[in-house]
Formats: sequence, structure tokens, C-alpha cells
Amino acid sequence: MDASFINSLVSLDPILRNSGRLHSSLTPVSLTGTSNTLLLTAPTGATLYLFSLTVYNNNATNVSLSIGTGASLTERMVRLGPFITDFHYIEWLPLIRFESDIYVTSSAGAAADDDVEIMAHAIAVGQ
Amino acid sequence: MASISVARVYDPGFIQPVVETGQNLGVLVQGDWLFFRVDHVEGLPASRQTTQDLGAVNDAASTGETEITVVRAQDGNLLHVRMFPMDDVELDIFHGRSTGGRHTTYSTKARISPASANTDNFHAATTAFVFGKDRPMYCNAYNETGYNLAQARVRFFGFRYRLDPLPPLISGALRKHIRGIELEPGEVDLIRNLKVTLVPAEGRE
Repeated sequence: MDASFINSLVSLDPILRNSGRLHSSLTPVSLTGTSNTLLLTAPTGATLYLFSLTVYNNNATNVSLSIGTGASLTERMVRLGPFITDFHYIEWLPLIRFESDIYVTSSAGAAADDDVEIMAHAIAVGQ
Repeated sequence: MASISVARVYDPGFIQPVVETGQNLGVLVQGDWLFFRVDHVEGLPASRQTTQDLGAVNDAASTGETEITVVRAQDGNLLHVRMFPMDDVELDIFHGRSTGGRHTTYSTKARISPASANTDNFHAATTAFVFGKDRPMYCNAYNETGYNLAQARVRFFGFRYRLDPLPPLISGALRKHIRGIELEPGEVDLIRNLKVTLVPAEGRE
């Protein structure tokens, strides 16, 4: 899957055409454990449609990610990966819907800050 | 004689004000024409503030008829709005609770869905008017997606007209003129130079 496929999905869906706008991470979120971590805050009252993740893994082991919504992580996408150690990925996703803020958990805790870094790129509907 | 025109509120394209400040407006309410001079027109931009969330709605269920409070009109005001759903729900529109059903045929009642914009890019067919505070709009959102939805948001945009009633003698003459009733000579003089735009502000069948 690539960006042109995302474009096709956006043009297909009137919800995104009518009221969508880009909403992305400005800085990476660093995962240093396996706890649930806030990845991208939704604008007030907005729904998020996630279309891309950038993942940098400098951890000693490979990691897989679970992405969900809410602090208790109602899962929307599980076991994404594995992201192999010492690689950088741009992962295209088919516009997965999140009712609010996007949270992430990692299968393996990184040893140090900045070892696993993630950014989320989404379309917000409702702002 | 007065020049009467009917506002073309369902024309394709961007929503446009039906009159400008200082012009005259005829509004059909409860089966009768009321006449006003518009002393102020302003836009209502599509925004978070003009969006109403009808709440969570489970699969194959509906939110129930809910008053749309974000497009309540003050007395002496007319709101001219279009709408679209921001979540995957079908909207059933009423003027007044359970009365004044909108978008009806003999055998069915059409709903506004996100896909309605595929055939009506500017939401022209959703055009509705809210006159004063006593005839609010109600909306019921149906979820036919196959899964539960956490929210059912509807966004409104359009114009607000502030209305100043025309004197009763002039209104009476205009009412007779529109119905094709013969006017007295004095009444002809009263409305000779008036220009009036009519809008169908009532949602009843």
C-alpha cells in the first residue's frame, strides 16, 4: 500500500472529503517501556483516521505495536510489525478510525529514551 | 404593482443569502404569509460551534428525535441552513417534534447520509429554515453501519436574517396580492414599489 491508495480512499469517502483535515504528530513519541502511551491527541470533539505511522527502532530487539484509543487502549490495530532493530519505517495504513486520542503499546520495552520513536499521521474529522 | 420573486433555495451551488440587508422577505409559516424588512444578514460558518453531537448510537438503532439546539433562532430571526452528517449515520429531519417531516414522498421519507454529498455536493437538497423560537428543528440519527458508533455529529451552516415586520396594512395588501385577491385602489398604491422575495420556511407536507 502507498500514499496513492490513501488518496483514493479519501476521495471515495464523503465524510473525509466534506470535513477532513490533516492532523499529524509534530515530534516523535519515545517508547521506553511496554506501558500504554499517548501517541496523538485528537482535536476537541474530533474523530481521527490514521493513515500512516513512522517508526524508528534502535532497540536491541524487534518490536511489534498495538494501536488503540483511550487510556485503557480499546484496540483498533494489534501486532503491527515486527519492526526490526536498526530500521526506520513509513507504514501506510488504510485509514483506521479512532473515536478520540490514539494510544500505542510496544511488545518490548526499549532500554533507553529515543530507542523506539513513533509519529502518527492522521485526518481529523470534526474540528 | 409589487414585484414578487421566489427564492431559489434549492439551486445547485454554494448556499447564497435569499435577500440582502434592507430588502423585503415573505415567509410562509403555519400556512400563512408573514412579511418583513430584513435589517441584518450574517453568515453562519460551518464550524465546531454549529455542530451538534446526537450522541452514541448502537448498530441498527437510532438516537431518537432530538432538538437541534445549535440552530435555534431567536424571535424575530430566520435561520437559513444546510446540513451534513460528520459520522456514518442517516439523518431524519423534522420541523417540530414528530411533525413537519422533511424530505417525504408518498411512501417514504428520505434521510441525509454522508453519501448524499456524492449526488449533491453543496448539500442544496438539505436546505431548511428555522423561524423564531417556536418551531425548532428535530433530528433522528440512524446507525446502519453494522457496528456501534461513539458519536453522531451533524454540522450546520448558512445565514441568519434579522426581521422587522412590515406595517399590517402593507402586509395585508401583499397577502391579498399573492393569493390573487383583487386589491382596493389604496392598497395598490401601498405596495406599488415594493420588491418582495418569498421563502418556503415551513417544513410541513
